[in-house]
Amino acid sequence: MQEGNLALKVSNLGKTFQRKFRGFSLCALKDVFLEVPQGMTLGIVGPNRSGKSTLIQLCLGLLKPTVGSIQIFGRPISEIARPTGMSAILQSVTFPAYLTPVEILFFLGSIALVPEETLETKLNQILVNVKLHDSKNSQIREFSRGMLQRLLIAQGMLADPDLLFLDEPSESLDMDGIEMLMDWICKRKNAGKTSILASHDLKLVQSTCEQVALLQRGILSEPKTILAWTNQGGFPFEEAIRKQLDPGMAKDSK
Amino acid sequence: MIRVPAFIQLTRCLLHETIRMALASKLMLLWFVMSASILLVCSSVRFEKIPTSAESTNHQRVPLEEAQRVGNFEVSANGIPSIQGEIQILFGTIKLPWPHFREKAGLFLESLLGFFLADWPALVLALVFTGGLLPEFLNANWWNLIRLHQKNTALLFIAKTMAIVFLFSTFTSTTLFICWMALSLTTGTWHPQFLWAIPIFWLQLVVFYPVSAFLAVWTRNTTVAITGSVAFWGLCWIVNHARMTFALPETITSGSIMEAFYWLLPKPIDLSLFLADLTETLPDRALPEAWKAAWQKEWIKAIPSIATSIVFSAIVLFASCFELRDKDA
Repeated sequence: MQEGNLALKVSNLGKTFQRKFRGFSLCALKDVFLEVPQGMTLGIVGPNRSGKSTLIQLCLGLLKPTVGSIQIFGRPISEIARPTGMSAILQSVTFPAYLTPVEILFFLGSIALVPEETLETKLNQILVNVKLHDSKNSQIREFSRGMLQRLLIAQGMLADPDLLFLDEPSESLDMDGIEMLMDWICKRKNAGKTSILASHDLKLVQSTCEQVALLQRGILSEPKTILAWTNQGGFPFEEAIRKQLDPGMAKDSK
Repeated sequence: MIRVPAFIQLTRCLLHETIRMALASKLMLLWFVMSASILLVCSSVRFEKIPTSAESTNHQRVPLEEAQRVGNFEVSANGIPSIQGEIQILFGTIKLPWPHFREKAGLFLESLLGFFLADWPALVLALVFTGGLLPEFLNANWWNLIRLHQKNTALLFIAKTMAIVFLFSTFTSTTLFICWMALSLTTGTWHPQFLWAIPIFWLQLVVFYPVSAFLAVWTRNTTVAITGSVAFWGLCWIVNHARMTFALPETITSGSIMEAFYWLLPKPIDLSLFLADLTETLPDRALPEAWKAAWQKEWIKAIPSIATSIVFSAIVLFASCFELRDKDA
């Protein structure tokens, strides 16, 4: 594959967490190699504690790798503009409870230095898209988990980056919310933008991703198309993934 | 390189977020209540039977010998006026006998106001009230999302620190100004030089808040940020006091350790003395003799003292930016 066409290139990536004073260490990722072409939607599936969130945080530059290198659009992470070049829908985000959705999106847009005139119209449209328009002036403390997830997706839409990482984006969403999420990922694909989706929700992965890689105990398998997964043993996609999981970990994937 | 209008946009939105954060915290409410209480006290002051110095020519006078025996008065050739006035506070609930002119009574009350709202009590309270704001902002679950939208963390940190200092200094300055106006209106004494208390408070917060900010970055813990910054202020006070008390100017050698610490660290007592001097309340403040002696001997140099304090805070801010970059990468 030509380097210039790659949205993400990960080489020999490893991450070990060291606990100070206790001599304890945890190897979260080991020898990860990954190439994602521009415009692709890649799914990463795996059980809990397999290293999906760690991989995403390393690719975003929120964590420092122990070994290996990461390139985004052929350049080091530090040279990539945020949030227009790359951004994410992260897991476990806590919004300030005293702010409203409008204030949060306005704040995030303002620190990204989006001109204020364009920001106002843009964020109103996004709040309509994620169906938070009616609660746009309510404080976050009144929100349900599903509404908070919609707000998290809204901030991803606000950034609409060339490369987007989605870490368990369907968590706590209702059917309507999952449909809205699928539509958005498909729209991004049609616009030639790259998305990397880490999720336990195999239905969402199957319906949105062109290729899927399995991450277990910090080791990433080679990405394969949905067809390749289903051809392997003749099982449906979800069954094929479950068969690949370690016994005892399979129950984590829906 | 970030453009100036963009930096202003960034600081403005962080200021708005800080205002919401401060309003949401119960401590801000406490700060409002305290300001309102001080304003009430200032509005309730009354002078009873205290003449102005211009009226004193017609006033009964104490003979010269008697006045000199009592001491502590400015004695003119024909003695001093015998004043048996009273300062009434809280609409007469508290009554202080006052044997001086009205101008001096005004200065006395201003020295109290300056002490509570611009000297160390105000600074320590400000450190307590602001101590939780940065750890909350840097909470990993929120900070990671912020970093996705602006990768220049040093810029974010400095803009947020500036927003906090600006917000609390502006709030305190407004309280100071309103209380001074109330006090001047009720007593009829006007000393505009008291307004020097406003820049002095700004300076105190600019010098000491970066220590709280550094501890917030280092530990992300509110308790550590508050206790650490107050303890650091205490350490600086001890060094400053020790230099004035134990190391008299004649005995100081240029290479002494105390002298080195004095110049390295911020100087809270120097700032208190500048405050008292600029507001012309130095004679009315009950200060240790050693401080007054050091001041009279012109041993405290304003520009080097303030400049080195500001340099210290700039270095701490710079170190915080590095700590933030290393911790988050």
